[in-house]
Amino acid sequence: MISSWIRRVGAAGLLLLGAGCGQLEGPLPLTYSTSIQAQESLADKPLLRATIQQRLTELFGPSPDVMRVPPGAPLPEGGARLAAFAILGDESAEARPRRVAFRTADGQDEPIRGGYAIYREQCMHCHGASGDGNGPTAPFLWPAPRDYRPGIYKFTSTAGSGPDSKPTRDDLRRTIRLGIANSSMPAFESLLTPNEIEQVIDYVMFLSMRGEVEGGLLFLAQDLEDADAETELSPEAVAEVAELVFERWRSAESNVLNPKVPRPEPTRESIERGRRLFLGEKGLQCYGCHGLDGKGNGESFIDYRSFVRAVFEGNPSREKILALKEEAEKANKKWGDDWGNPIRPGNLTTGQYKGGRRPIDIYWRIAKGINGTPMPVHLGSQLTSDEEVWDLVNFVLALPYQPDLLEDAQPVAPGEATAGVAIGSAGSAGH
Amino acid sequence: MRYWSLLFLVTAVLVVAAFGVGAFDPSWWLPENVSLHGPLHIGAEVDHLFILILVITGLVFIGTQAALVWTLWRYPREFQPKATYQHGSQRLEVVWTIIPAAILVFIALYQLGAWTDIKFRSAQPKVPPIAEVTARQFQWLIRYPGPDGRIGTPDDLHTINDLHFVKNEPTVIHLKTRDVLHSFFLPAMRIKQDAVPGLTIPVWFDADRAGTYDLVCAELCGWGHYKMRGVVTVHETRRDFEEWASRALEEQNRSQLATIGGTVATASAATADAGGN
Repeated sequence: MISSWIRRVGAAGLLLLGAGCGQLEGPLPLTYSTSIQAQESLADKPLLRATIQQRLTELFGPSPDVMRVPPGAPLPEGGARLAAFAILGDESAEARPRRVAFRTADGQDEPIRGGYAIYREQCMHCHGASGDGNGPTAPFLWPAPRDYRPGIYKFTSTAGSGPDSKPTRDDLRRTIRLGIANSSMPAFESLLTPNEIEQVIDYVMFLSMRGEVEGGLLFLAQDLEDADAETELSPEAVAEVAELVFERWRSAESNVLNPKVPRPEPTRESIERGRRLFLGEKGLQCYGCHGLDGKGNGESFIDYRSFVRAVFEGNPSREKILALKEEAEKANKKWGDDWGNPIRPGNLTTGQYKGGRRPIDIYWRIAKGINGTPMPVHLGSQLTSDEEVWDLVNFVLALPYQPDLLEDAQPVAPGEATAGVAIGSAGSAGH
Repeated sequence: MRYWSLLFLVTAVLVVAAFGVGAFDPSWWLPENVSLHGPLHIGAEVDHLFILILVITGLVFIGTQAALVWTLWRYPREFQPKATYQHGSQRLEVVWTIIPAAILVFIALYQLGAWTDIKFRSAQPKVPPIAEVTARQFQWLIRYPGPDGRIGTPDDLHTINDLHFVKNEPTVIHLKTRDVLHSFFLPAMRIKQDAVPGLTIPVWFDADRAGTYDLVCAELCGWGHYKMRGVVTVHETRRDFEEWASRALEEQNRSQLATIGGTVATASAATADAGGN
């Protein structure tokens, strides 16, 4: 079946096959899931749905086992590391898939398994065959595994927010190598070689780009009728949508937010300035979500009890999550992220940081927020300089060791004078 | 039907032969033992006990298999003697109770020294812990004391699945768990200790060779148990260890990027034909 499909392929640039037949024998043939929106908004428009499906197949291949890399996709090596076998360049009748190899330092060619094979083994059971975060082990987890398809990544180093703030390869590499603290994402550094991690990054980007193009086409299609399918969703129009997605990924590496000044020493004065910023001096309401005691229990968020009831009591269900959302909206409180999953504000007193504990990681979290969550961009809005961000970073990093910093803390009114404020003792190192 | 006895004979011979091959081929034997000549030589004690028990059980196995095969061969179905009733032999029963009991008591007493050296707090090396290892589903969170020598202060070095220590130094870690039971297992150092919720358990070990070894979880702890693997790096000298620690700490304190992006590896497509689809 695969070979007959190959023959039908036109001048598509590059076609890739999944990793070796032996490894591909699964209980079921893998297929991509279709977005929920497709079922709802296009329920009575079969031609539009079929056209979107066809365009996606033309661009990205028909199934996870047979991938195609669309021209212009920003993947290293033209996407060759996605699979163990590849057909390069224009399709011709006699083209045969060739083994993809990795050129080692001493000039040897070592065959690779390909990002798809590694993803299938290590990632798919949570993140799903389509990267929709809905694999078989996903329902047991909180926080929920990432759905890559919207193209939003929480822990990025690039300016902007939401899908505009794409992760650099280094951001993805760090997440895969070190995992995400306080979540179910494990660290893969000792399970995979550096080369294998690069292959997985390629495949995650591939799934993400496919999902974003699908989302873009669904967005285009929502106001169309079946009769417009041929004209509005022509291959040229679709290629334009794809190019927009690729361009966002391509620009990530040059869009990194690098602090202009390094972190100053965490002096008592710097920590105290950070503390006052936390408590609202410049209109930042950190305590609104993270709480006046920093334990993630702020008033702006749905209360802990309701959250636990919806997420942890009894069997997980969509209905309980929707009830939580409704309860939160009625009380005008925050409750979840852009994927529709309930989340909690970080507890800043534990010394565990999801996006990494380096000062620069905390800088990014504060300066540009956490994409897809209520944690907003701060640098350029309430915070005007790197120095202010660093004061907050110093405060956040000191808090787990100096719990008295927020003892009986009260909000500071914006603009209030700084005289006569108690300073937590800098030497008290707690456990 | 006496030829059935040959099946039992062949099976027993193959099992014994497998151990015979194992004794000469390391890939059939236990993992490398790097705790033989260090200050603690835990590995030497553990392997000695293993071999001793293997020899005892091996001799018993050979004896019982020989008796079994001989009986099957000597008294096949065609032999058909007339059955007689007898109460049994008290002397025989006493013998086959006392001999195994004596062997078990011997093993129980003989291993006390090793148990004391490995588990008794009185044997714990008088050195500060090199790290605090906290297990969670599904990784090892490792926390080194940093320049001030104390764990639980802002200058601690944090790593994940990455344990470092120094060759020929008695090494102590404090073992904890954040969720369920895990088991801290260093196969090459022959040390295994359960991590128990609520307890901080000191574990000590050493290595007589520098290199990288495995740290694995030896207690089924959930769906991701198999992912709970760490790398143990044994440094040649204390100085190497400290160099590594200060480099890691420098990265942990990073507040600006020197270089941005970049890739680690390159792949080239197409070297050999892929033979078939």
